[in-house]
Amino acid sequence: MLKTGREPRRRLECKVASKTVTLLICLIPALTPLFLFGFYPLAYAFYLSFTFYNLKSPIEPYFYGLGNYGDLANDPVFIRALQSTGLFALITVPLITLISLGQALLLASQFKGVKYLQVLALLPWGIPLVVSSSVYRLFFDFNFGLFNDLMVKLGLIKQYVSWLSIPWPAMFIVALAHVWVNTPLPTLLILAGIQSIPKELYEAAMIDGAKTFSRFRMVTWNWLRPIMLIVLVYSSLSALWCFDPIYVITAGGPADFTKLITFYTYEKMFSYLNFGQAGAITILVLGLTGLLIYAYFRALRLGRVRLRV
Amino acid sequence: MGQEKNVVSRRTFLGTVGGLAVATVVGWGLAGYYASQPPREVVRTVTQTQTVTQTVTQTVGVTTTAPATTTTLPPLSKFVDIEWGIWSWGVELCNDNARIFNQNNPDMKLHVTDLGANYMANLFARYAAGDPPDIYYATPDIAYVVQYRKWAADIEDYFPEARRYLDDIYPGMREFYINPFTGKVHGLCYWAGPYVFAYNKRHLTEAGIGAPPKDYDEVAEQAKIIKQKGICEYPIGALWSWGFPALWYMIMLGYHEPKPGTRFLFDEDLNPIFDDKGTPFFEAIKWFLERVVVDKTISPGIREYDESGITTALGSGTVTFCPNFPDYDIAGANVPELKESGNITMCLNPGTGYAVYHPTNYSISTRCMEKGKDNQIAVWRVMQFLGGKTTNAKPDFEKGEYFVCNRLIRQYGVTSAYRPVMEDPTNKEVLRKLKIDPDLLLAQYEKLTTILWRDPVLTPWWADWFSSPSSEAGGRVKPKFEEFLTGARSYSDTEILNFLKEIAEDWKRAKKEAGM
Repeated sequence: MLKTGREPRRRLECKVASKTVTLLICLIPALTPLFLFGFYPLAYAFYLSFTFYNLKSPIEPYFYGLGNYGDLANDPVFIRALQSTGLFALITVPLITLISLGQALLLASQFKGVKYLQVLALLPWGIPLVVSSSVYRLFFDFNFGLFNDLMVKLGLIKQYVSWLSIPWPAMFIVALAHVWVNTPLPTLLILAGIQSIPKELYEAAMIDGAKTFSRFRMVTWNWLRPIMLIVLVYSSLSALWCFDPIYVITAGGPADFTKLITFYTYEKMFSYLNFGQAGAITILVLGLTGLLIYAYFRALRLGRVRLRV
Repeated sequence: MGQEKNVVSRRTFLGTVGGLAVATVVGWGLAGYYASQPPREVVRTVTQTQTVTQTVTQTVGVTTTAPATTTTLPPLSKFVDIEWGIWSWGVELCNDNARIFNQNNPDMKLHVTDLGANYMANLFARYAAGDPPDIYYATPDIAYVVQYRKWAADIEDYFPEARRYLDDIYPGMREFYINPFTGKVHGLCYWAGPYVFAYNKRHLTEAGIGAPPKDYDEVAEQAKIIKQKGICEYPIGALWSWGFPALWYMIMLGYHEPKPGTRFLFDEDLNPIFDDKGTPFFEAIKWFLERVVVDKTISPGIREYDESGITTALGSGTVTFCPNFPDYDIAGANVPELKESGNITMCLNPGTGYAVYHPTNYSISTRCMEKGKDNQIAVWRVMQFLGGKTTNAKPDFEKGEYFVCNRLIRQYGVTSAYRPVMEDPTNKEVLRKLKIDPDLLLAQYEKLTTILWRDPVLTPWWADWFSSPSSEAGGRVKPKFEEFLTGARSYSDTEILNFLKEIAEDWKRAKKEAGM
């Protein structure tokens, strides 16, 4: 009896095991690049972050424990880069969110030529970041920039100003370059959201006597809330990852004021060749990104539409 | 069926895969940790540094004629493939040079690898991976690191006749081609040229100024006149990005003639000597800031001038003077498309007349030399073709010509460290056509000093501290100095001194971290 009782169970276990193996084999093509190009570099960066590894240094690589993290905490440039990144996010996230909302509302309206406007709104998305950043750099050039020319002609300034060498204008210029390229995608998302709102909701609101702003607040905004949260996630992460405009327009200057964390990482990695510290910054930024995503998704769960994670 | 579904749930499957992944990462991390042992080995010590400095001092002014006898290279016993690492400039010319070499040397092959714009990082990554190119370009900061880490070999160790090339190199440039750690010739010249004091002669004439400035006080005076007459708002510009260290040395050299043993920034033990009132660096900064704050003849936006920026600014007349202008860029500032075409010229560095220069060389990886005699012979053939004298792409020190160096100057106006190249009538004519006055340039060649690269020596952290001549990014001193330009620091002797003390502390910390 015992023997006959175990037999089907063993057969079942064999079947399960072979099915798991089959599944794993089927997943190899998908998992291989994920591990090779996603998890392996990440794991290596994690390993490097605990290693003293500076290619220029006379000291050979060795296990450094939390030394890299400690060095970063004591590095005023790192602290400045964190502050600048926070500042940059504070400027760009609301700008991207509001501009894309405004654009989407405009593009959702029915008027002649709206199709062309839709194409125009998406145009910055198709321009390589380096190219668009170069355009901004030239536009604000202190010798030949069109912006200075316009300001002089309008009588707002008497002589050309080196905008990119003054901290706050420099920060706003790189923020502008970033916003310009990063607005089309959120616009598209919000536009899709607006176009999916059932007309009946607006009709019902009108019957209830809702005015334009009330209709926007009660219908449009409520419907768009989950999408707006996605836009917030996107714009926050893009602020954290912003690199090209900094590299092209200001190179982190003046006086490190626009040195965002990504540019600082680049410098540590490719200019100073300090792989250990670059790894530590990568892990810290990864942690920060994770926290941000977690916070946003927690917020999403409170909404009407829940995303499954 | 239902039972099977329950057993292979998504949760179980994801748990298994996730567990495996975590185990792999943890296992790999632990393996990596143990593989990284044994830890902390300082390659060099303070004592060694002192020895190095002594070596440098001894090599200065040494008779360069090689004691070595002429050696005829034996034929190769097997086919050899040599990899030549280049940065992304003149790639077509490099490939064409390799083609010519290969045509004339059928017993071996030279192939070109473009290490890209991020040259230094890619080169060092190749070293870290244990697969460096056999021969490659090196700027001073790269040369120093590969010599310090013994990644590069001294060509003189294998072929003593290499020292004879020093005779052809301008005296002020020779020291760069000698390894500061060994006193041996490490490689031949790729290109080299002085930073020159460039100016706009039309601006000077219009301002009623008869001659270019004779010293830096006169630079300040002339700039003020040019500004007052409304010819140029900010007459003094500079190459800021990778020319930042050179700028200060040009000003310091304007006031102080370099003599054997002259030190501006550091002593023999690499301790800062600049962080006090009245030091050459203090005075140079003071001179500069006075022009920014008091005279307003230097724009606070000067930090925006990279190489193309300052070239265009000079060529379009938005600046009159540039004290640290790369010599070959005079051609760029005189192109017909620019407003001031034909007006941009140079003079000796005001004051003492001495200037610093930017050299590059061909380095050979130690790994290449360890491959055996055939590789050593092959790579020496290549080095002589690229940076030495050959006839039909074969080494010929006695009767050969600097084939590739001549090609560089004739096609692109790229100058050289070799006197025979610079004084060649054809090359002088080429420079003239490019609107570079060869006589003025050669006069500056006669008054060069290596102090920028030997003050007393570079260190592995020098470029990270001062800014790299191989990279637009990096350098901790530069952004700190920019605080004066943004107004975050006020202009006063006390603030200049504070700035100098801060960067001196930074230097000491970097030195300590390097175990020196």
